[in-house]
Amino acid sequence: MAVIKGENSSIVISFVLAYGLTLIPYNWEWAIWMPQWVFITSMFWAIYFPLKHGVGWAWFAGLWLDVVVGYPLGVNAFAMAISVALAIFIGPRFRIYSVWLQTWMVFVLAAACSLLTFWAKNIYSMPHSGLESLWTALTSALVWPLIYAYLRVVARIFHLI
Amino acid sequence: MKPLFLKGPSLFARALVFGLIALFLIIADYRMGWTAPVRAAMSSVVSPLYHIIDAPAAISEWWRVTVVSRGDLQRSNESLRNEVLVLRTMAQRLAVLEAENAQLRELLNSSAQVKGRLQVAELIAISPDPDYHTVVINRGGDDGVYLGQAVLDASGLMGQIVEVQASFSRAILISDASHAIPVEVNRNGVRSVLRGLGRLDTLELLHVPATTDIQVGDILVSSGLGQRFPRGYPVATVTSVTTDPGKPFASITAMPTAALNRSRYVLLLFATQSVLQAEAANGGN
Repeated sequence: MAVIKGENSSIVISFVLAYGLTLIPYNWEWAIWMPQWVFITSMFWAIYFPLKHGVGWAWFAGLWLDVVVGYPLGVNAFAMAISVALAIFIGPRFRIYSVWLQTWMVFVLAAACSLLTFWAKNIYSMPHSGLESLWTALTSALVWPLIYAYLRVVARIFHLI
Repeated sequence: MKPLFLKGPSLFARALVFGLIALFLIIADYRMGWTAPVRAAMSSVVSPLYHIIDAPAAISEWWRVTVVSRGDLQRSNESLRNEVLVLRTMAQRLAVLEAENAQLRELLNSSAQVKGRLQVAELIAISPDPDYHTVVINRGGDDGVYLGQAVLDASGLMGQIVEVQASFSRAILISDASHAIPVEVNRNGVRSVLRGLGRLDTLELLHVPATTDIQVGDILVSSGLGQRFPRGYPVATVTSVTTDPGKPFASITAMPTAALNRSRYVLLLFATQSVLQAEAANGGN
């Protein structure tokens, strides 16, 4: 068995890309529209490869997001663990949906993730933007077909499918 | 090898356990500060990412500065020379005023104001969350940056350092909804607290009685009372004053003088704690 198998490193690389994309916006006007890249990535792996990427790994990915964005540790970890558990739960149905129906489901899941983040932020401060954060769920849903196509190719290259 | 038991604890039981661990972590981090070593270790892994993401912006900045026509350079050189001339003339007056100020302060029995050292830093990332106005700058503990240090740009106060790592640090802006700064009106010395609202262009003055003399256009400067920010740096300009006879306080909004959303270069102010304390003690003088 190789030390680093292609499949695991492809998952890691996709996450590094997601963290990079998270940091790209250079002002707050754009930031409102930024898709939740890390959540989408985690959701994809969790739905299509639930044995490789489960709730624990989603939690861990959220922890890294907290470090990258500078939140108290655990805010995104909390939201990601629970919303990715939801994603795994609906996974078998999600996999047979058409990509357009999937887009709607991604909106619902990403909205759940951003609302959980919002709730977790209330533990330590008072976030002012209530439903504004749902815009990120909308854009997350809109980029889903692209992410889906890209991650399918990655998964096929590394014989994950 | 095939695992013997395919079904572990159920999905939602696992989610619950991880969720509870995360909630515990939030409190351990925010209230107790127990997780600082973990964050420092993880941050050192993350820090190259900031620099990689910033690389295109840095390269385009370098390109903009490097590829300039001779005519443009001459023009900017000339205008800079003129500016230096004007500023030098103003600085001459400043020296006299400073000496006079020191004498007057001596008469009032208060300690002299000490100027802080400034260091230029570059902004390399912003927090992508509109709820959380923080920026990442390319100086860290290795450069002597410390927690609570004031961050300015050329036109005013921007915020303060909230997280220091070895090679970068994070600053919260005055516009963040959890940030407040003690200020005074430059015109008449009325003191108040200026709070962020989570919007880049609007700040709010807290608990100002309706009869207080504050007008639109007044400049608010830091008062130094919190022992965090040095005294006398411009923070915001008053943009609206509304008094409602039914309410005990006037509602006053102000606009930050610093270009919170545009500055790429920021200044870090090094002021010692004793200076800040002395300033706070003399705040009323």
